[in-house]
Amino acid sequence: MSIIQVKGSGGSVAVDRSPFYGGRVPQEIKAISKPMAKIDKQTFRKLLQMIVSSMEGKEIDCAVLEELEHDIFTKEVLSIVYTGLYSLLRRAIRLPLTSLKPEMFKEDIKELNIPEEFHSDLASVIFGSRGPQITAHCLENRPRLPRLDCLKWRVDVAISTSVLNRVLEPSILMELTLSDGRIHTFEIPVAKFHELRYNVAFVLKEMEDLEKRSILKIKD
Amino acid sequence: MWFQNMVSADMDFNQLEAFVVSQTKRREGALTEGQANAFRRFWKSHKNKIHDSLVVDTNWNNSLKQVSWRIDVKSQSKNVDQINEPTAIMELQLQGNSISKNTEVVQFEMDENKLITVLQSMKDIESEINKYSHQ
Repeated sequence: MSIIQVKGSGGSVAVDRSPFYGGRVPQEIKAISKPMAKIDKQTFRKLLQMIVSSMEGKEIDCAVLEELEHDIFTKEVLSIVYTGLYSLLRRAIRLPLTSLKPEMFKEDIKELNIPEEFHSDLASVIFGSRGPQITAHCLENRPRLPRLDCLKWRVDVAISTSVLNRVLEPSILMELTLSDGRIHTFEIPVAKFHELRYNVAFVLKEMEDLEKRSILKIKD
Repeated sequence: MWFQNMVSADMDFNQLEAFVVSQTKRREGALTEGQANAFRRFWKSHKNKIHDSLVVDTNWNNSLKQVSWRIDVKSQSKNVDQINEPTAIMELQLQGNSISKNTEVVQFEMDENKLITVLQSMKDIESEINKYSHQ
């Protein structure tokens, strides 16, 4: 976190750090301060439950939003609150717990004029038992190449062929299954197999060496 | 015809010698000594190449042509500020059989645990190969 002095909308001054949502309050977060003053705890908790489910990768039913509608809270207002809270929690969950402490978090949301009665509920999403589940889902769904899910192999020894009476040479048939469901089958002659094995061993050694180097460990 | 016999039988040098001698002693169409020497020299320098080429021709699957790799340290993503874990990205170039020659590139990621598992599989494969290798 950058070391700057920030004067929030509430007027208090937080020294030596910028708030978790950044130096400038995002528009969708700024928009929730008025409706949040009117929202009741039950409606807030239902909204929060929907947001957490969504962040955990579960399907959410839009009918739940419609059920929460009444005179004060039109669908439009609920959508604004939902979007703002979602953005707020997304930005908070992104930071490691070593950087963002509960008291800092509460301090920052106080600056956003979010009523104090909701602070502990919001903090429990980030610092409670649901936090690791949300983080795990984020990690699982980040952009990446397909992973190797399964490696199957078979060693064949060719005895003879249509052009050679005697071959007696082993070859390896490999089947790679990737996480995107694709399956690749290919044959490897012995010499090429040794090259592949050397490369895999070398990569593993490099990776282990890399983890020993403290320069790559980012510390707060 | 002689050449085909030599190739299909994958003759070693003792077998070749016996074969060449028998062909020089034939009544009709026998090899001359010069031809016999030419066969010996040719077989000595090309036996392995011919054998390997014919083995490749009877490989009808895709075959591994090239292995490339890269190690990345994942540091951040849109939703996670710090990740700090290395990942291996492997790229395998697979070539189609001797007729199609199509090249396919396969890229995938492996973490350290998966690399350990794959390396163990390869040790198992190697021990199997050693049972059948006549080197």
